[in-house]
Amino acid sequence: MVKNILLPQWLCTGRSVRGAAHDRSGLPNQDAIDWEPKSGTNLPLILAISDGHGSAKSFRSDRGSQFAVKTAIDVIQTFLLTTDNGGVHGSNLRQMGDLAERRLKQQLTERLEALVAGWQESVRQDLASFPFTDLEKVKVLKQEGEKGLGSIQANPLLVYGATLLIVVITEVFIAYLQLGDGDILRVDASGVTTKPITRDPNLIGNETTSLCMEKAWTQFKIEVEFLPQSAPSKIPVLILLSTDGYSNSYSSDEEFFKIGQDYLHEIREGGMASVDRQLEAFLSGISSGGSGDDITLGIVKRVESLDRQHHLPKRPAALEKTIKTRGSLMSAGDVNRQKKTASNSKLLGQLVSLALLLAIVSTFASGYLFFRLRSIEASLIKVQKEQSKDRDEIANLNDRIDKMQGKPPRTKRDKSLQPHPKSTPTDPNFTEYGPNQKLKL
Amino acid sequence: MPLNPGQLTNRPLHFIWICDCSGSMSVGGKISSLNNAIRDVIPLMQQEADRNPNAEVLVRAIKFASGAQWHTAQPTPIQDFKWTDLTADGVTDMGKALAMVAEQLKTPPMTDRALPPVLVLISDGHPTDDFSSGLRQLMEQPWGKKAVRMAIGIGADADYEPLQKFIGHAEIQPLQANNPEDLVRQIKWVSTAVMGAVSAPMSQPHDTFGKTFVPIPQPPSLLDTVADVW
Repeated sequence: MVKNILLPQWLCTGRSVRGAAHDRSGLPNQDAIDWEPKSGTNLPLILAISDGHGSAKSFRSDRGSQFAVKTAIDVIQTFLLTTDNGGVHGSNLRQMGDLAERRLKQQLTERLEALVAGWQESVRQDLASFPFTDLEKVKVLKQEGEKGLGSIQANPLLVYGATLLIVVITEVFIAYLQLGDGDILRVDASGVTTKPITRDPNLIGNETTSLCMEKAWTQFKIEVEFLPQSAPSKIPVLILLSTDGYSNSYSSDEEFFKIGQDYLHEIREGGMASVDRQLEAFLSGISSGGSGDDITLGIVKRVESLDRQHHLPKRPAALEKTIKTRGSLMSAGDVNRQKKTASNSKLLGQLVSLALLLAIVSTFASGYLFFRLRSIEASLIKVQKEQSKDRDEIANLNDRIDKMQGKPPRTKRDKSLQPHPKSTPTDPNFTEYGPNQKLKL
Repeated sequence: MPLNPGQLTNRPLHFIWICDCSGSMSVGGKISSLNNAIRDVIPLMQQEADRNPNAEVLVRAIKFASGAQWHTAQPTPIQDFKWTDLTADGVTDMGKALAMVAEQLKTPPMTDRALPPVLVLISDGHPTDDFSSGLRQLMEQPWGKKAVRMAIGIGADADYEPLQKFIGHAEIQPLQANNPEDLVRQIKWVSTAVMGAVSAPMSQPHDTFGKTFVPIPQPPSLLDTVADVW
């Protein structure tokens, strides 16, 4: 029996706001957020957020966080395209079991090195275009002394330092990846909120792991969960990614985790569009009343029948700012265009191959016919020569016979030995072989 | 429906005075100068705290002489903080005080969302108990290691070696106060400039050696015009 399984639909939105403390000190918003597809719908869906470091040494971390989210989406998209969703499918999932989880984690881990390298390359390109100014160096010297200045000269990546949190949702699995502080919350259908990746107890007091650290890819934490299509209740209904400015606005995880149930309730009652409309001002209020830090929140909601509205508002223009990263970044549209182009190229290639094959066959056939005709023509000429010789011999014999019989010599050949009147030199296909025989080629 | 922000809180910044109340502190008016300096700096700390309303400055004080005891046991918002004068008598059980601070820096009662605590150790003498044990207990706590530890030595007879060990960073030296004016100046600096530097939510990469370096502004220069009295 064929069982029809409806694949879950997901919606994605988010915002990043400048912190109240940054407003007071003049620092920019050093967080960044991006997702693909830009429409916030359809799978596979990739959401990335990043928190640029706030210390004086990291004075370009706002650019570093932008590089981080763009590079993350670029690398994960390529991973999904080139490995066909990590090589994990519903059909082989049951057989693979734990092996699938280990293999997927391993493959993601391998890509993280490329991700960090991509981010570093973006930073180096930016540095080549915009070297540190004297003013920037003086500010570091003033705020962090010679030690601070020495540290950025030893490791310029520090100036762009940022964290990175990613969630990847395909039809078969969800992958959570985290480098540094911040929170990924998983909310189930009953509102129970948990963290797939727990906080590192050593990272307290504003310290964090970072993309600017040596071998930063080894500092990522990865968790994956497979989506049992036959048991949708086990699939999370809501995933929240936030920078630490959000959780630091609450006294404990217990208080912070309440946002899972709050967002779930609001989306079910008012829809994602309602949340999206409120989000920017709401997060600014959280920062003012809480940590004072920049706050970024990414929301991914699985569409349920309980949801009042299933549509998304237009993606805010503020999120469309682009920073050139390594190579050219692919958007969802780019990927679709790339797929379509690849498909067209494949069809064109097949047609060209077919045409070439036909041309070769035709050439061989023509050649064969040409040489076959030349051979036949040569045969005919030979036959004609032999016939002419025969006729001459017959004529000589007739002359000798006539001479022996005392008859006068023949002045012209017998009519019976003349070529058939219907036969013409321009008709090579037909000729007479003998008085009344036709040779059909 | 409006979104519900829940119960928001500012990030706690624990500021702890660790004060020497040994008998030698009664000599030359040191203890009274210390009481006056701390009392006078409270309004300045309140002003500094107002500059960053997203940090909740909570102040405590512990005293050590023959043994150690919390002088202000409850973390008290700086706006409500009142100083009660210390008295001097006994020996210098500095290690005991550090061990008691270490207990309070455990999580809980500390939260992992706090800003790095600021610990200010003030002493005029030599530890008379197991200082190393107390320091080790302090540094075993994650918040003990992450804390910004500052020290003020009162007078030329103070033992600066344990104060330097307490700080734990070669680039930060113990401050020296040789007269009441110096003491006021140093206390004002640690309780305003240092507290202000720590209260800003500025993340930075985790040091691979596990050391924290919260950028500390340059300390004030001492006044040459005032004669040393301690």
